[in-house]
This record gives sequence, C-alpha cells and structure tokens, in this order.
Amino acid sequence: MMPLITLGPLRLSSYGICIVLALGLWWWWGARRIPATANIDSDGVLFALAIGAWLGGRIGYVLGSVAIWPQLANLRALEFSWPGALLGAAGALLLYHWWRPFALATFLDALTLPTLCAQAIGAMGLWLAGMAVGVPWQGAWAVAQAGAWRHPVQLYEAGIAVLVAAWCLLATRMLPSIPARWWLLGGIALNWLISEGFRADALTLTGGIRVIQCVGLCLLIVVSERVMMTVRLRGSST
Amino acid sequence: MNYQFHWVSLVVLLCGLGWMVLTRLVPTPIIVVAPGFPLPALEFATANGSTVTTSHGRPQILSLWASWCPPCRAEIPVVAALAPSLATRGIDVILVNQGETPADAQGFLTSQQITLPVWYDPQGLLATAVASRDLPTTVFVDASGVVRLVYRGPVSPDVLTNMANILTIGGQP
Repeated sequence: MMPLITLGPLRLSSYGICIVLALGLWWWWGARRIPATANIDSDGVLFALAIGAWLGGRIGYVLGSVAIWPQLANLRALEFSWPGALLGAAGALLLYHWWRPFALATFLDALTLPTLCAQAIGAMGLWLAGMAVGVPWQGAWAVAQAGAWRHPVQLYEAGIAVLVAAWCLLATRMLPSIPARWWLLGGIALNWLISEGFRADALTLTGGIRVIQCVGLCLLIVVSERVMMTVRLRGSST
Repeated sequence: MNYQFHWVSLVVLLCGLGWMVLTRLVPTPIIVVAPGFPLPALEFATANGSTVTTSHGRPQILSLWASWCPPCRAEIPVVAALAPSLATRGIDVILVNQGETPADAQGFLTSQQITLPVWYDPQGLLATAVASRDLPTTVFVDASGVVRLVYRGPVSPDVLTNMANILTIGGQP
C-alpha cells in the first residue's frame, strides 16, 4: 500500500495521504470552531501548532526507532508519532501564547473534536500503510501483518479516538462545568494507555514496560485530579 | 469530598498500572516474522558508488548495523567469522549499514579486518521494510526472496547455524 501515488519528487503513501487529510480537516474545522468573540488569530496559532506537531512528530517517531534515525533528515517522509506530535504542538502553543497571549482555554476547547478526528484519520492511515505492528494474536479480528496474525492496534487507536469524541459531545452537554479540553487530554492519555498495550514495536523501559503507556498514565492522573477538583469546587459552591 | 478526590485518582492509577503490567512486552530480543513475507525490491549504495538491488536466487543473511552502535560492533565479528562456512553452503552474508556514509563506516570495518560486502542504506529503507526498530537486526531471506526470520538484537552463532540449515534445507524457524 506504499506508495500509492507518485507526484514528481513526492511519493505519497496511504499514511502520508491520511496525515495530510487529517491536518487539513483539523485546520479547516478547528478554525471554524473558534468563536469569533475570542479574538484569536486562529490561522497564526494553527500554523504554529501544525509546524510544532510536524516537528515533534518527526523527532518523536525517529527517536523512538533507533534503526531509522537516518530518516530524521528525510524531509519528504511524513511518518510521525502521535505522542511526539502532541508534545511538539503543546510546545509550539505555549511559545505562541508567550509571544502573543490569547484565550488559550477557549482555543483548546474549540479544537477538541477536530483533534480527536485527526487522530482517528491518522491511525487509519497507519492501518492502511501496515505500520505500527501489533502483538501476535490469533483472535477473531486479528489482521495479517509483518508475517503473522496480530492485533489491529491502529484500528484500536482510531476506534478509541472516535469513542472519546462521542463522549466529549455527550459530556459537554451532561457535565458542562468540565471544559472539553480536559476530556480531550484524558481521552488521548487513555488511548495511549490502552492501544499502546497491543503494540509489538513499542519503545520500552526495563521489564518491558512501554514508555508511551507511562506518559499516558501520568497524563491521565493529572486529568483525573483536575476533573475531580472541578467537580469538588462545583459541589462546594452549590 | 476530599476522599472521593483521592480515591478516583487512586483507582485510575491502580487500573493503569495493572493494565501496563498485564500488557508489558516480554523482554526477549527476538521477534519472529513467519514465512510468507516477501522482501520488497530495495536499492542500496555500495562503497564504490554503484547501486545494488535486493534480488532472489540465493539465500541471504542481511545484517543491519551502524558503526556507532556498540552491540553491532560486537556482533559483526561473530557474523564475519561464520560467513566463509555459510558461503560454502551458498548463503550470501551482507552487512547493510543504516544511515552512515562509507567514510563513516570504513574505519570500523578496516580496524576489524571485515571484508564482507557492505550495502549502504542512508534512509533506513530495510529497517522500515522489515518493521524493525532495533540495531542490530538480522534478516534471513530464502532463495525465493521470502523473509524467514527477523532477529532483533545481537545474533549468536547458534541462531546463524540453525537459520542456515532452514535456508538451505527447509523447515520452520
């Protein structure tokens, strides 16, 4: 499935096409969800975020795979890691906010659904391209990949992203006091914790514990504390 | 309310840790790729500037390495020592350098008196093709171009000998 299309110097793989689609949708939808009253230079911030996500994703992808360090300099390649992209985007967002302060919370709340949808599309691209290898498994929905039947870890990631997006839609109506950005962060953390557990090619610590799961659990605890703090404050004020 | 605050986070923490332990990777250096995985046609450079392409016809042992990688530096003399006996059985042993130039790699090869053929893969195409994220990695390809085993981590003489038997006689890894 790679590459699908050759356009001059570019060889577009199914994953690359999905990443471009995901970024395009994220930018287009995100810009429209930011309230005009927030007075945010949405294109400027989204551009900084996209650059940060791309750089972070590339660096994260290559650092997590020792054998492909040489690919860091391959600027035509689009493969990147979602955790790296998120960290890169967060860095770019904080830098931009420091340079030109804006309503950060409003901006993040508006980007919740586009970000989750972009993650789902990117994960589907991983599946189409046969990247991100799942652990061997012989179950009902195992897929043939890298010479064995394996967990379709990319589909798990896409599915969890869609479920979290649906939960965000529900939660913003049922629990309006909890900002959407916390559901977004919690959903991403939960996705890392669950789907990474099915990956065979994860970066691991001593004892086989996966690095991304550790990051996901820490982020989930932070979000849990924050959500419970909001619930407690709301309870004490009523 | 304070108790609920702590309990929820504690439950999240315990569930998360439990899941991480349940799904942890068994720390073995081997990931077996079963038969039926054809190696795609890839193009590599050689030290004299020409290019070579992966081809069928003879079994091949492709050793992914880099001169800056300590386990690779330990492994290559082991592979080189067995290469002559493998060659008599019709198996080509090729070192596929990942991301370096001939100038970078030649110092190590000269110091170790390694005379095996070396292909240069500046973009890590072979690592990507066999879904390997580790160095060293050894790829065992049979005469029909099918990958029989991808061995992540330093390979031992026993593994090389066993795989040579499989590549020449047949059988399962």
